[in-house]
Amino acid sequence: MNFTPLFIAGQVLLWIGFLGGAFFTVLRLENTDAAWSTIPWGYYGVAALVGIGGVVLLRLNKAAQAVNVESTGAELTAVQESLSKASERVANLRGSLEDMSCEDVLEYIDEECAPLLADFADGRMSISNRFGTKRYAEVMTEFASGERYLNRAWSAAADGYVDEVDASVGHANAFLFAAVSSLQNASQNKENFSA
Amino acid sequence: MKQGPSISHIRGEYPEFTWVAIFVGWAIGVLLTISVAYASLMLGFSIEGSELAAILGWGVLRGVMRRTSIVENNINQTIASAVNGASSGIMFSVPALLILSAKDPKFASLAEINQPLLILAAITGCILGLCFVIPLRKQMIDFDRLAYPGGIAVATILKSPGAGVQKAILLLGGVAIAGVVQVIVLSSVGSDSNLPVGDALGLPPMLNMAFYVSIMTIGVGYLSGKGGFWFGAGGFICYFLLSPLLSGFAADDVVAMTADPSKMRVELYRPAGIGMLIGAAIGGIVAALPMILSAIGSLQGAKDRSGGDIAKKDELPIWMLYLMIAVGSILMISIAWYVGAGELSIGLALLMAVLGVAWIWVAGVIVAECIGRTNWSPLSGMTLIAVTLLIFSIKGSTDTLTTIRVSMIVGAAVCLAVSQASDIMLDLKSGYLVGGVPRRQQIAQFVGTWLGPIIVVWLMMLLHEQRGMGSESLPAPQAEALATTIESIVSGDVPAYRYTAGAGMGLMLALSGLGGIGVLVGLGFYMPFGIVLTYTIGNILRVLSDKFMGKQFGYEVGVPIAAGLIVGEALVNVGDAVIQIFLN
Repeated sequence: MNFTPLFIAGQVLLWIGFLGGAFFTVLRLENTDAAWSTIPWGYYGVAALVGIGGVVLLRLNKAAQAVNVESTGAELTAVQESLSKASERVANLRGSLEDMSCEDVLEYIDEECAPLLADFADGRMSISNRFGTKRYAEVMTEFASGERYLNRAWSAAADGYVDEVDASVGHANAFLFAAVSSLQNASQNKENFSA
Repeated sequence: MKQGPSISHIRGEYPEFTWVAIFVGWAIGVLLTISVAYASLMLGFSIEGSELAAILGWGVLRGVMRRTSIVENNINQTIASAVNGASSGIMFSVPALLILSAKDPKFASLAEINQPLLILAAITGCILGLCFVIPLRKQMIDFDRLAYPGGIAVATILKSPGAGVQKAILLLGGVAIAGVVQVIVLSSVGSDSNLPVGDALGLPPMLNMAFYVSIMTIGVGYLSGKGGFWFGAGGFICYFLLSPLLSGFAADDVVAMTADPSKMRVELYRPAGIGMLIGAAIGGIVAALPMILSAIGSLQGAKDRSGGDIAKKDELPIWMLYLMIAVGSILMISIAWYVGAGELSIGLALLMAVLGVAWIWVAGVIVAECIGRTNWSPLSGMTLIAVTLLIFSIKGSTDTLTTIRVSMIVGAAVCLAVSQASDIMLDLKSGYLVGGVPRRQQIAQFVGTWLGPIIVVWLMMLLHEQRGMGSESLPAPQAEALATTIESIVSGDVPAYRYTAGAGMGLMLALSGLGGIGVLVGLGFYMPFGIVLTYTIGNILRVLSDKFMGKQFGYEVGVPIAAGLIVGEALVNVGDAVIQIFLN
């Protein structure tokens, strides 16, 4: 998160507006003669306007961040690296299954793959910030399917179902590879567009 | 693959959606439903069935039947908890009709419940709730990666046979700690107790510094992590900011009330919180619309994805969900019209059904998101709004009895829909973590969902005939509260102005782009502050453990212990409920 002046101003206005609005929402007990006049709508409206101003500034800040390559670049690079490494390791797992036991598979997924997948998931919002929600959804669709099939491979290995381990690692590999490709395509399209 | 030292190889298909899973799921589900539905009537609280179903399934499938499939047990717990979803949905709502009929002779005919029609309405509600929320699985679990602490706990139980001795010990350690603590709590201070830290520190009563005594709540907070902090912020805004400000600037009646935080919550913060939840949900839907459309688009275009047939087979076809929503909506109109018995025009029946179905979608989103972020579901608040909307939609157009009867039948359907929506999302999270196929789990939920209403309606009528609903031997506290509320709504006493003002604030937060913040802050206003405080301890512990011990420590050590805390307290509470019922 970058604490730009726009971001700080947006946050300040949003919270002043929200707290003001909340205060006027609970300021009075019900006026039994005219229930709707319980809320001082004039003051409430002013607070809401201040808050909406904050929302606009935060939205502008988000849009500015999305086109600022430097600010999202480092985080995005880390996310891309995590995903690529995870994909490579799952591909290695697939290639080595013949020589591994179920216990080895459990250990490999827990030690070699899970931390990278968690790193990617932690930094995933940089994809949305940089490439928009549509591309984010595309990458996450593939990633989530890949992660779920890796989880399935883990369960099958714990239960000893070796054919399922083989099949699920294969599916996980295909989906994670697709996630990497989708992210790379997004980066290339953005670069071409910028150029 | 090589044969290892401890896990024997098994060739062939991995058992998942099997007849054994279905029958064991139904059996456990029936057992759970009867116990939980009875406890709901006697004690006024419900128990989430997924963890218990997973443990019972673990014992039956692995221990007795010697079956070895984590994903098969996942299907079992999905079916069992789907059956159990009807317990609170019906027992918190429909008995209000029986209580009203006993309270006032003019409402006597409300006790004449058309049971088959009630069951049909309940099943229709369940199916609508599932159809609306299933397309959101991708958005909430795959894209937003909501925590679903209950789902993590279930997955930890399901995975325990393969997770190694150390994690099993941690899980059981958590269970033991929570079990012992809860036994001490129940035998010394009782359930629903608060630790009045504020009094001991000499703080003003308005700050409401009393921690809810529940080690499970700390576990839930730990599993939610820093993402749950805004829930805490909502509570602190109420009692640490607004109450002191009100004590200085409000009118005398409000100033006097600030010294009684319970009253402040009921009169002011809770209605504002309900409004915020609604506004935040609507704003959240608007803000997340591109993502929701992408999720639905990827369901429609699953066959074109990288996995081709695999991706397509992972999800229920979207056309099937659309079809079931259409059939369910037509059924809901017919039910409303039929229950209206000539008093209700087809136009009004249509209006009620449209309102009910629309509210199922909005409330389903609210509850699925709340349970995903915090593990708490504002089910009673959502039911209250449903009944209020339905009563207002036909009030004045027909007589009071018809208004209440039709609103409660449609309202019960909405309540069940919302209950099923939250249950399936929690189960789908468990499924994600153990690698279950979503389509199979979604079908499993449908396989279980029809059975619950039949059992619960039968049980409710049986108990009513024997003891009388609302009597001392069958108090039904939640339904009693709803009956009182219905009387208020019929007489026009609803704080709609405060809901509206709260909704504006919730909408504003939701549109700010700070994901989920509106729902969390709204839930902080809505829930008792004691729970918020204890939950925040869990959040802080997770942040500290991630910072000083590393995230891996959290996943390897913290999560199994926290899951154990949830399971341990739930088990002791069930045992306590059984003992109380037995003694009564």
